[in-house]
Amino acid sequence: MTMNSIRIQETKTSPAVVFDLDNNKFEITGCSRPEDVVVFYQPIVDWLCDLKMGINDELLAKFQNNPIVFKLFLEYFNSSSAKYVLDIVLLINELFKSGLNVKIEWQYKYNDEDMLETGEEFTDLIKCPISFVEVQ
Amino acid sequence: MYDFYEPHVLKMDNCVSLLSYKGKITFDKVNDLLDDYQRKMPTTCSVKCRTRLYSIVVECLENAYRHNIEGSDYQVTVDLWNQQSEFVLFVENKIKNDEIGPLANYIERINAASPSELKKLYFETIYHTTISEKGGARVGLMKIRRCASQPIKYEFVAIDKNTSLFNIIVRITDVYQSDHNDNELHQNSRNQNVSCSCF
Repeated sequence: MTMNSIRIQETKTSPAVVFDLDNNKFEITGCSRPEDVVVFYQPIVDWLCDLKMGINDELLAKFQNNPIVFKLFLEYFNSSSAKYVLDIVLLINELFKSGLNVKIEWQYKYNDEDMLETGEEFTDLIKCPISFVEVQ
Repeated sequence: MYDFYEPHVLKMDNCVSLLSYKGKITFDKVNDLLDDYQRKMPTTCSVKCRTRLYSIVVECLENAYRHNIEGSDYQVTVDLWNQQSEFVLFVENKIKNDEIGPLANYIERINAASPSELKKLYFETIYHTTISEKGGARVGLMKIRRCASQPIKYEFVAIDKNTSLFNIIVRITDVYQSDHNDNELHQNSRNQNVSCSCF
């Protein structure tokens, strides 16, 4: 399966995004309050939908012993971004339910317990493995 | 109108102004105000209070920006005060009169909700919502309420038969400010299960 990578540079109001299937690198990092949340996030949501549609035996085998880890390290996200963060987490969960070996690594800044608890609140909604990593 | 938010009415004599702005609001102006906020926040403020207050300020400014009445020359007013561990944000913007009823009902509903009810309502809303034409997810005020220490105080001041000023006051108390050991805070609050995410 061939998919173009997503690589978006971080700005003051939007996070860096790397979704690279060839190199097994999946990260969203930074603050999120883009001026147009749809323009920013819809391509990411579409990419995940395309990945789900393209799941086949070859793809399942490729990651069977080397899971895809979605690293989500959002220092801050506004309420509009929250809609898309939830959608992304639910789509990753859909990938998991389709048999793909995926995990979520929810990263949060040292002492930012609100962001930790935000991640913990997702665990009620998904079956996909999720781990929590405090970043110094 | 001004009696609603002047510091002496809020019992905040000798308070410090952290943000004060009256003028047109754009996305760039929101960014500038947030930069000012970051520079002026007291260093003694706890991580939890700082992040929650930041969320409140962002949501209030973005609400004012998104709900701009097109073609009007209206100005928004933003004031953020601090007195010891108390922070009070005042935001005033102009809305259409036909928005008043639904908005007041909505604020009353979220003010009356318990933290667990608010969390449930928040997740239900972002799960089912679509992003509005104005770019919002219809949960900004819920997020503000989840982060604030007290119910959202609000009023509407009629300008004419079509428009009114919408004023809100949001308070947050840094109950952890005297505890300078953030690591202890981190452990204590989690152990006591007193915190609630304001996602």
